[in-house]
Amino acid sequence: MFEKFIEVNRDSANRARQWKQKTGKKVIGVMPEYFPSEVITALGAYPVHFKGTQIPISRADTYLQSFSCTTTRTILEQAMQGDMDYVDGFVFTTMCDNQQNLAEVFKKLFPEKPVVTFMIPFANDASVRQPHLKEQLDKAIAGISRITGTGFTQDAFQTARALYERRAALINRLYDVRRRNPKAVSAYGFYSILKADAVVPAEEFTALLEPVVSALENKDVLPVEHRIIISGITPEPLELAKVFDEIDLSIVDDDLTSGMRQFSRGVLSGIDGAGIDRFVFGGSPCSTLFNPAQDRRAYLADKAARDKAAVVLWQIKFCEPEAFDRPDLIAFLKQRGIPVTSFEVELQMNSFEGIKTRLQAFKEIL
Amino acid sequence: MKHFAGIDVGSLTAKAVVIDENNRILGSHIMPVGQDSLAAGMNAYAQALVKAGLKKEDVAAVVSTGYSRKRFTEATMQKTEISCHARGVSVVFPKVATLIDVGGQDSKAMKIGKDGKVLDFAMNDKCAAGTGRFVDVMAHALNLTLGGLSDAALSFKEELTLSSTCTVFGESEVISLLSQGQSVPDISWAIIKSIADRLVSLVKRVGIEQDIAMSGGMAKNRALVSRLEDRIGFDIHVPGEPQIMGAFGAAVIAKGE
Repeated sequence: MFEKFIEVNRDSANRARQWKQKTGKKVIGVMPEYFPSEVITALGAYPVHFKGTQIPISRADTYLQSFSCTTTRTILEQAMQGDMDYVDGFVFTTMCDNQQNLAEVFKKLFPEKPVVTFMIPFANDASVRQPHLKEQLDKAIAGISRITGTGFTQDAFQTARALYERRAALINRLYDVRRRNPKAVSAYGFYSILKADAVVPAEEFTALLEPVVSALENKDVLPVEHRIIISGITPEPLELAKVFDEIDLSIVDDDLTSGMRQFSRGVLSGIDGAGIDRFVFGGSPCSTLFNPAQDRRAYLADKAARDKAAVVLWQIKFCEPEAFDRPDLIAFLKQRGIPVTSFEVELQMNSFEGIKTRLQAFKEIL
Repeated sequence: MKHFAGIDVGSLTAKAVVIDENNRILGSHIMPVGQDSLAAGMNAYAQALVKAGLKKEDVAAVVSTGYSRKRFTEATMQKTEISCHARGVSVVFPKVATLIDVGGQDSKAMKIGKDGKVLDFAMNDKCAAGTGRFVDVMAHALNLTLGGLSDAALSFKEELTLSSTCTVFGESEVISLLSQGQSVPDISWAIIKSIADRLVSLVKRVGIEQDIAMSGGMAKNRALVSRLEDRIGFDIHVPGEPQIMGAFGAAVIAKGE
């Protein structure tokens, strides 16, 4: 059922090259979250999100410290090894210091590929954020237009919005199925779908996903013993999701930047300040965003209590925003009586015995 | 009378224990894992049976634990070494509330509740510092056995500090201290302090509560136990044979099953 998505993930660069040729569109590489793909689509381009891979690092460490996260380092390695040759330009969001730094490295190493930077502000309230975000979005639209040669029109934007709303509705249905019947979909299958979403054009993605969701919705509901919410940035390396399936820890929901956080905020309503502010800050709390109006600890604790689930913090090694949140999150969840454990991974890992022991021990104490 | 067995195949050694219905150890065996963890586990089990004067058919249930636990398809069930060490130590010390288990490649701290149930745990991350491997590498650099390093450390005269927590850089630092003319006992004590400090941080993650016990091969290191007691501020209970507590706990769980 998930094989088409798994195939895309096995060979995503070649698939993206084929889609580029098929659509005849320019490709914009998105690094990696919090920029609206609907804007890129409205400007006549095909967005591809880069979130790190398992590629062995041989060149990127010339420019990034070995204590940068492997998400950032493997993205750079991909580019340096020519895996992004089909990309015509990049949009970087400043969701963390490493990403911000990476944008500058890309400008230096690949001067022929325009880099658009979308600065996410640190501000106490929306009235201060909105003019800044509007200005940033306008600049990004102008930068992407220069790459695609297509100007912004409301008609194209509304068409793109409708497309992304269909996509978001489908993914939300997928999340609903899992919440209702966690055994219907394996953790590996579920996150293979979301991973493929980063590469597959939105039209094709919705066409591929629709029959899968419908089939999952018709599956018999099976009992679940151990309900888990995973929290972090991205569920990589994806093979690790198989460990949850193998030891029968059922992931019922997530709190991931590349997961539920991006689908909890809806699509971009308009290119005004309020619209882009809602898009960036209107979703569930994220370690990479400064938003005093939200309490990530209470959000996660309430979600876990609602889902009757334990929490596993899936952390990428050297991810500073997550590392800053972790002690506080763990203490808060424990105080609320919610079982919680955490582990750290690097994207190139392919042996998970230590983590498997940790997760199985966690299951044994639940 | 029924008999039960536990097989614990860790990263460096395979351990097997055979018990009776009263948790009495009838036979046990420890051997290096080598290249074939399944064979090592089965050999350790066979030797433990010989020492117990029993045959496989005499054993009602077997639980496997340790990193290779899944390979023992003959086992009645598999449990993590975290649950097994907790159960084993709680039989020996029924009041135990905090357990430190330092094995070859990892270390764990556990908060233990009634009947040896693990309430919370913390493990070292993907780094050898804070594990038996760290001490093994350092002992090798000093041309000492593990026991020799413990004895040497207990006769230290001057307080030295090992600044690096990384095993590779720590080894370089030990070699540098030797070349500066520092004594082996002083360097040995610096090594023990380094691992003990990391273990204290690990234990604090689950909370330190009396009674405290220690299991795993490193619990045989008197210098390490002494340093931990100083840092934690409580006595630490060490079972007679701390290295087999995982296998013993597995056998006790087998009895329950």
